[in-house]
Amino acid sequence: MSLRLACLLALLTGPAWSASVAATPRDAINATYVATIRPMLSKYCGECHNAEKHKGDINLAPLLSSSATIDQVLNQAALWQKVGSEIGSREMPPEKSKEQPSDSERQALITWLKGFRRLQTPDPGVAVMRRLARSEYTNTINDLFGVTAAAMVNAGVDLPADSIGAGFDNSLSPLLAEKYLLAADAVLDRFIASDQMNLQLIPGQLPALVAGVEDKGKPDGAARLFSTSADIITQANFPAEGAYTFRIKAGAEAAGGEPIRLALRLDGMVVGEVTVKATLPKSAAYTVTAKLSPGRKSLSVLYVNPKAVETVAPATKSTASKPAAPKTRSVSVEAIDIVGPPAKAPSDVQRRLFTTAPGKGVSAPDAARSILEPFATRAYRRPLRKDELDFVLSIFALGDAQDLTFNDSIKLALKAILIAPQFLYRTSEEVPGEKDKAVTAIGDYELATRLSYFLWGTMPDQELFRLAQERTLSKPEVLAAQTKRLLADPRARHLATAFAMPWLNLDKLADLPVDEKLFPLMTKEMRQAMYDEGVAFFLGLLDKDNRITDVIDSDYAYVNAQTAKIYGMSEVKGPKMQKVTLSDKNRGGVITMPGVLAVTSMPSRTSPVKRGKFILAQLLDETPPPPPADVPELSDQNTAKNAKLTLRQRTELHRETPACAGCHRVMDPLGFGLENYDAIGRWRDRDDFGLSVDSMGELPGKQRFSSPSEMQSILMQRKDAFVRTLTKRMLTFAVGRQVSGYDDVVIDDISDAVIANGYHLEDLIQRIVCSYPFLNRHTIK
Amino acid sequence: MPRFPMLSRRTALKGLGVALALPLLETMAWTANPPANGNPQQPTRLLFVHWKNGVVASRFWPKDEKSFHPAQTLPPTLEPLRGVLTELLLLGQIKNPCQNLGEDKNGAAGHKADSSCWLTCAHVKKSNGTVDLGISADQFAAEQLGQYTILPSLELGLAGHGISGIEEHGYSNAYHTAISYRSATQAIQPESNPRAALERLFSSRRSAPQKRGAGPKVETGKFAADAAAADGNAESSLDKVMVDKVLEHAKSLRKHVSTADQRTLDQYLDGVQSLEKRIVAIERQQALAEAERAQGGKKKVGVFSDPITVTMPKDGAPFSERFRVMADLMILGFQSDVTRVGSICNFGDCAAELGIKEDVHQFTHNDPSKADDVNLIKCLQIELMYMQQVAYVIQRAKDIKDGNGSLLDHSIFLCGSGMGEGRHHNNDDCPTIIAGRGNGTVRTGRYVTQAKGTQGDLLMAILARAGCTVPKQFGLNGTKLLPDLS
Repeated sequence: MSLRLACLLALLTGPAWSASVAATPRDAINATYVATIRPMLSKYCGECHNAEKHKGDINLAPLLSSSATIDQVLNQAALWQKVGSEIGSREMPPEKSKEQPSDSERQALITWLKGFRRLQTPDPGVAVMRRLARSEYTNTINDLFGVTAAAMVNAGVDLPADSIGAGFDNSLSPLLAEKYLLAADAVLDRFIASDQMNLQLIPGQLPALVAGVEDKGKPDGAARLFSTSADIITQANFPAEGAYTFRIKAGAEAAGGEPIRLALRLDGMVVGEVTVKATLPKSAAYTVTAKLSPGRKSLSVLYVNPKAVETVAPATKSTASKPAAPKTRSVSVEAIDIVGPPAKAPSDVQRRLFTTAPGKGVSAPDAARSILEPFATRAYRRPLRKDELDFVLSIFALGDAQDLTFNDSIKLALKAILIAPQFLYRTSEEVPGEKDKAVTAIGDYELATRLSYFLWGTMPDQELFRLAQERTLSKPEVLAAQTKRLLADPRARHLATAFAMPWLNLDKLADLPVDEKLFPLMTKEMRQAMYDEGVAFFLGLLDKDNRITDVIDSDYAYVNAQTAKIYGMSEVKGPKMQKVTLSDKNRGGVITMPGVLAVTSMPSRTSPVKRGKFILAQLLDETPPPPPADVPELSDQNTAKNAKLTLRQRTELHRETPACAGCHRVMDPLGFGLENYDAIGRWRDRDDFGLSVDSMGELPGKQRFSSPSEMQSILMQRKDAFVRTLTKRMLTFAVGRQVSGYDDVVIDDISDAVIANGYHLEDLIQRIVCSYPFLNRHTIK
Repeated sequence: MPRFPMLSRRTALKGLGVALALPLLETMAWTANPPANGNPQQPTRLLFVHWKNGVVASRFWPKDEKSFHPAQTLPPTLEPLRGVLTELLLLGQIKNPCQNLGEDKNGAAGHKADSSCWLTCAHVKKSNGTVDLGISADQFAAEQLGQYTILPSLELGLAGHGISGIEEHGYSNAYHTAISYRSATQAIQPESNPRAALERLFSSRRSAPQKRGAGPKVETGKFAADAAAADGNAESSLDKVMVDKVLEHAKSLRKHVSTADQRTLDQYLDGVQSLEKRIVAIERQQALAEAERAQGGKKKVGVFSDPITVTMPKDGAPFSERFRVMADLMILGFQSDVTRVGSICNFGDCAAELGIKEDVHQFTHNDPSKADDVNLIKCLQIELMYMQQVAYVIQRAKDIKDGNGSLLDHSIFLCGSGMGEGRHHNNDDCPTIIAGRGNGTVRTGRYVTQAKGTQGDLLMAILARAGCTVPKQFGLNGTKLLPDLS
């Protein structure tokens, strides 16, 4: 065996060797598979996991069949992954099995698997057009409008909660569509004041009822001359609350009788009347003012008295029966001007946004373009295609054609931008010539967008846009420098809140059910402090002096006056998180962080199972399968028979059942190693039953420990597996999809390099940013 | 949080930031959906109320048909329903065979199926953490009945859990948190914020700029008085025209995105299109109401209750209070005919209100053979509380006069769980309570011990009774109309 192993290692490490033994890497992998791997799996695993017997629902037959072709064998990537993690973590073969692979055999398998994964051709994975998550939406709106911190709007407040990364709900339900529209309304109403209404209506172009018959008006119409009953009918949008002045320009020929009167009606109510004294062909302007609420209203100008009422003394009966033939009475309405209340002073946002005003040689469409094009470019996070620009301008034109004020037309166009898919989703920037390829490097704008959403959870800032425009962001040294710059910015807190907190389950703290009678310390402030500690710890890892393995164990912690009560450090004061060097060996790392200990507890007691599961799933990427149905939960064993058992003894009942033992023999000891911490993370020597805490445990492979600190030391031996877990999770977050296939190779490469370079978080992030899936995408065919 | 004043006729709610289109309450369904034969009949409303984890069967099912009677001793869990028993049809032995547990042979699959299969009868698939299921019955109904109302459907929840993300075993979180699915790939996030739900029901967005020219005439005499004329005259807000243009332009984006993204874009288009339809529906309803008012209101047959009172819960209100607000909002939506299809999902954690400190789920793993089993006692307390809520929503509908009968008479409420008995994680013998007579299509006051069909058959029968055209097959197990309803 040892000779064979030597050959195998040489095969995988020495190119000269592999060239002489096998023609291609694929042949080499196959050769090793036939010579070493398959016999090894048959020997140690085949007995329980074969075509007939699938213990734990694992069937290795496809890997063991001697008739299977190499392609068939290599296609079982998911199964290989499983084999690798079980053998690597020593969970398999089970302890009771007599045949145990040696350390070098386990290592050989793992090395072979790495080589096996490497056979895949590079593939950037399916990058999806991602919808902005709630926090991203809120941040982006604020940045897009250039809002200062004090004036920040929580635009996404009504959007449903979501999390970034794999499994993000990318769809847009009708409800969500409506919420986006309402949010856009709210934001625009807040930032953009309506300007003064200054509308001139040409009566000849408006519909009118003339002697009860509808006359639609003509596009080139001018004045309207009425000599019978008439009503000009239209609608107008009144942008703001306040006093409006209506100037009706008219002239009349009031042959006989009273002067001609015109009534102005809004929504059917008469708001004023004018008497037309100017005699045609002369005309004059007559004014009505009215206080109005904003909104669309119907507007009519009614010819009140087409028939003269004699103003002479009351007629006698005889004269009334023979009225004088009506003389010509007509009125010409030439224009209706509406002037609204003066505009409110524009907000800072509006001043910045409205760079050009119409007038003084600038047409309204030109002014609109100079405002809207840069805005849409930033909103879409890339240069607009011609049709996209045309679309935005067409919305302005729509408002303009409907006599909206300039500001309101701009507002309408901005609203269209804010509900356009190019804003709500991150769409790809087209790369010249990409149609001829299957995979392309992403363009600089897309890179700027990926980078800023990864690290900041918002749109690129000015500098990133500038570098994108100059097409220099993709240069490795520029990208590295920008990554560094972004990480140094306060906005990098996003990485902690959107990535690290969900990863460590600390986002659950706010709503965590805790028995407040038993744990009065667990106030809202305490929950916040525990969360803040997690954020501070994670961001602290960006410090060159710290290492990502500090997550497993560290000699420092971040404490404030709240959590000091948990840590028992009365000397720490104030709400600010302070880095404290720990003298207590049993504290340190994420595992003994009060917040983590709390979220892995039950409301009234600790849960070693949850704590163990946390370590396995979150730190070592070994999520145990869910328990089978029909297995009672622990407290179910609260029967007389078991009443005297300690939590440990009762938990150990799990392991009497073979169905449970598989997972619990790893999960439970890890959790019991933390039994010295109560359900909110305080140190204790006695448990809930008053018995002294027994934090002894033994992990597979006869690894024994008797304190949290010793358990952490054992976990530290698996720090490389932890680095891989963190890499995998962060890559998933960065590319916004589940990782699979070629990503495994990328994860191997990045984690190997991070390990070799001394376990630094910034190094990990830098490597993700210049990784194949981050910099490339499938082309659009 | 301010308490809302009573919602009464012609009252606009202040403080919401939205104008409330409440005058419509008087005139809604009858003009929007005139029955073909001119005989004013109320539309059939559908409500789906779901709770998790099934029931303790031995404390839920009556021993025979005769025992299901208000004068008889009822099983303890059914006790809260005594007052509305004559309005109920209890269906025994409803199975929902759809979940092939092979993909994930363990307990958790049962929990996913509980919520996600209840109205879809589809197989829960992992599909890389995305939703991959089937359309749910309520959404199927909304597609057909929703065209008559401002809201095609209303989905409410109590838990406030998101549908986004992947749970630890690689499935979409939606399977646990949503019962309504618009399509095989799109779960609907239930609204758990009562204020947002109220806004959704009654926001009229009146202040949006309107398009000039093609609007209704000023003279009331010439104003379109019937639905058809109002339709033809479609007065459009600029928002609607703008959204139209956004949609049109978004379609042109298709050629610039990958095949996978075209699906995303299609969902976007679908969502925004519904929004556009909603704007149109709101405007149409407003025009109709205005016309009605101008004509002094139409004579309607029967007696109608005033709109019910909804009081917003205070922060930290107990579960039952929050449920009741959600139920009230749903009933108000039905009463005002803003919607005809609704779902209330995942009753959520009522434990705190009962003074129970642990997670609800674990109590379902109890031993019903031991009356003193701690878990059993707590589990029954929880189920009792669920039934009290079910009774509340039914009673509420029963108390509302809705023309020639009560709102409940014109409704079919399906209340149940996708799990039979919690500790077994099974999906046969699911607790299934139907309330309401569905405009005379459901015969209530009965217990059918052996229903002659599956959950899919039941859903098909309900859909058909609400006036939907039903397909030959619904989900994996609906093949016929369940014969037991009438």
